[in-house]
Amino acid sequence: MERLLTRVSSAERTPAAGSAATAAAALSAALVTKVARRSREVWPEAGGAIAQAAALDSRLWVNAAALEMSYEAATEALETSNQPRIAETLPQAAEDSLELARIAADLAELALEAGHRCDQAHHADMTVAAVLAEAAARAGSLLVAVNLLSRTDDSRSSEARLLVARAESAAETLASER
Amino acid sequence: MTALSTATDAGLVARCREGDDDAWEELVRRFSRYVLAIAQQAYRLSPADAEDVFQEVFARTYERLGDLRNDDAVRPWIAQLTRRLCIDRIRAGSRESADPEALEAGVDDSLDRLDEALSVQEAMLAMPDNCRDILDRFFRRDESYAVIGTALGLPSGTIASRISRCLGKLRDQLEGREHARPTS
Repeated sequence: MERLLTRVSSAERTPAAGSAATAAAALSAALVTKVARRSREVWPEAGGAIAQAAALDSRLWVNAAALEMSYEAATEALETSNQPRIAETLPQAAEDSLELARIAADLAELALEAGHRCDQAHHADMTVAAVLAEAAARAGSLLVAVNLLSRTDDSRSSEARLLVARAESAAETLASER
Repeated sequence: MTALSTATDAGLVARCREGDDDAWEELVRRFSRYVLAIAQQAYRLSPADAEDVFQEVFARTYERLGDLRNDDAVRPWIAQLTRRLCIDRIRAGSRESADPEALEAGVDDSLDRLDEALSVQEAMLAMPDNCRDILDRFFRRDESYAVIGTALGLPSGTIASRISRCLGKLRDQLEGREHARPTS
């Protein structure tokens, strides 16, 4: 994490917002894992949540690498006003951002499930996990809009909005249960 | 009669001994990736050498299946046969005599991982269709909860708990197999 923070704060073009949002989602996965591990006595299926969090975390970092590359390519195309390259690279950056939102929305729902099944001493941890995942989903959705040059009629924009709504609903449900 | 794809290893071996050609095909299908993985991943043989080992392993398995003392132990038996043939192949391709210890370095770890993967694959075959499908979609095809929910006609909010339940069943399957498995 410290290394990532150093890299994000550097003057290099990447890692940037996509990686920062990925880290928020990864922290959400880590919290789910911790709480599931500490809830095994009251939650027989805690191992299933741990396995899902690990799978989602793995997808996050694979996608983060793709997102860094597509962002680099799109930014370079925009800076050089290379229209064919812009047409080629921006949709890929939007797709990678959308994938981040998809994984984050799943993490929010996993946190919701964990929040209901875990040792309730950890309910607040799962609320925070859902909030972090929601933030990542929202960031992914925002990056989709940026890379689609704010076209809201694209199917990727509508999917991104639905993903944010799912993550938000999970976080709000947990927050309302305090 | 048990469907071949879900037959136990011992059941499959018994039917092979009776001359059941379909059972033999299933045995080759079940262990082909395992044998190739040992040759290519554990011993890093070239695809051509791995293919030669593959042919030799199944030719010898066919000839010597009658020598197998415990039908449940067919997997470790095939693994051992594959290891010997891989080492022979490496030595044959080397001018100096290869050091057996160097050849075996790291192989046990690779084999443990392959055995684990094969155990999971076998346990998956014994799972109910709905569980096999949902686990395959999430863990192998990397599908999101929403995509799985749409495909299976389920709310996405219920997918995480279904996956956890199915993983619990898979764990029970694996533990049952672990208790039944011979130590070879």
